[in-house]
Amino acid sequence: MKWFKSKKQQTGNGAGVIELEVQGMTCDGCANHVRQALSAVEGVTEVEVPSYKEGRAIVRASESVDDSALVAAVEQAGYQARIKKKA
Amino acid sequence: MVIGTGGGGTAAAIRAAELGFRVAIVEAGTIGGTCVNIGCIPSKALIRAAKAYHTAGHHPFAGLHTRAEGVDWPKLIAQKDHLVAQLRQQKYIDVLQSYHSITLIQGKARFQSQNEIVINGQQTLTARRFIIATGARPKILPIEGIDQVQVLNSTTLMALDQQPESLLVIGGRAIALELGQAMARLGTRVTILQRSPRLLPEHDPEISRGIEDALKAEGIEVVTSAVPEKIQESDGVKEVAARVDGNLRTFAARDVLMAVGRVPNTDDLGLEKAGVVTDARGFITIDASLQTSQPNIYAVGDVTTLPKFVYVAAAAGTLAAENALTGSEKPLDLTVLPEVIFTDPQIATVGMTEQQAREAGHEVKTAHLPLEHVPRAQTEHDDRGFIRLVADAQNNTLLGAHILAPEAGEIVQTAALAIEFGRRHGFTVDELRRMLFPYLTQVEGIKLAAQTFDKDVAKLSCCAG
Repeated sequence: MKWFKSKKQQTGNGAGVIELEVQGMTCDGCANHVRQALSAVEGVTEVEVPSYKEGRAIVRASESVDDSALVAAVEQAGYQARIKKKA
Repeated sequence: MVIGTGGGGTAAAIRAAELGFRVAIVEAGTIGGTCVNIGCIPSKALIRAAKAYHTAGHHPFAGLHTRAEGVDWPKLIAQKDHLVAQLRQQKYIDVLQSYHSITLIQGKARFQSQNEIVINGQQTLTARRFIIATGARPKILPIEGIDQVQVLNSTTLMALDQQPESLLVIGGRAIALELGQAMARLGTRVTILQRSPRLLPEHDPEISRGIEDALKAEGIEVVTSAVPEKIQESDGVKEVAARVDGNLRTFAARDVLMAVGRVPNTDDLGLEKAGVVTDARGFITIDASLQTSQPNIYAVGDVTTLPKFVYVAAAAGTLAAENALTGSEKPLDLTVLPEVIFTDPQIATVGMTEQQAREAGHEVKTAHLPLEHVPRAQTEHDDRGFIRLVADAQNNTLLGAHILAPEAGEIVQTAALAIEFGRRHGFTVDELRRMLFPYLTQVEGIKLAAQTFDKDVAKLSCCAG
């Protein structure tokens, strides 16, 4: 019964924000591949890829998320990534 | 007996009458409740007016000389009031009166026991079943100084005699953004103070970013992570001190709009005597058949934990009357619930997010189409937004749609239908994609987005599909 609790996901206070630099995105389709790849990583609650032109992705995840899993997910999708910033 | 004549209560009364029962419906305030009087109707009327004025001064077409010459606020409000009165009469008063078995009682109802209601402390009434539909009202943050300063809420803002010269909007969800943008477009200087790190914190982050950019592009000041601590007034100017990223900043304006949520109208209803349980914030808790903790009492609408939309309240009201009076236990199905926020661009969502779909066990694929790829956006010279679709990668049915676009509210229903047919008949996104969509419409974006789903996850080359 969805309306017994909040239907949409609230960004948790314990969640961390990780910014990745992503290389190799040349169109909106690429941005979507990266977005999907990162969303599938365990512990990730939100993904934002502002535009393929910006070459970055912002991920909100629980503390247990494995940074290397994020990088691996992007690489498996066919792009290069490295962790730029962690908050 | 139905308490409240808003969307939920009126629907319940009508259904009960149609089922052949005698109905008493009690109203403590204005007939029609929130939506027609102080909610949906007046706000959407003002929003469209603001868009017309904004276009006069800011359209993208070459060679057209138009001017936005000024707003006669009293005239605009009078037109809005006239519309509200007309709809209240046609959709609520006339409709209720057309049923001879419905008796309207003006007064404040309070439960004396699970079977008895007292009206205005005088008249005691009993009924076989009760449906509570008393709605909710704007919340006021109990910050320091609030008792000494007059602030506006959504109701009082839309009833002002004069247009505010400047407005500080406290809040960052639908009501704050809709009214904030409308007022800014009509010429009021607007600042939005949002407590959370982003606007619309429960929405997809790219929707939050998209709408923040759009609001700022129109000259609206947007401050996030701003927690109001104190309010005071001097010389007709209101000042709010808020902690922004650790620093105390002061924001000043002639008026302040508090749009921080709504609280349920459950005070002084006698719920404890009726044995009706509420949650921690006072909203009446109900099960899927809209029954409260007290078997002969049902509840619908904004006073409950249901999503706060008039169409949900109405559907619940109809179902509650059926369940209450015929002994059925039909559940309210909100699986396909479209939600629209009437900013510009609009925001519309239906179904699951990618995250929710994964959690529900689906193998997920998504399509994300920036609006610039929708030809209509080109002819409009307005490509703000995107259309995102979430589908089940195994059976190819559509699970969710998340849209930021000028007419997102019109687009979303096509996605809602696809989701509904997907779950009932296995309708796939391929079938959706192969349908004929009219060219140069915004809804064509649904077809175009469906064309960009990943067909083959293993295919690493870019721009597949």
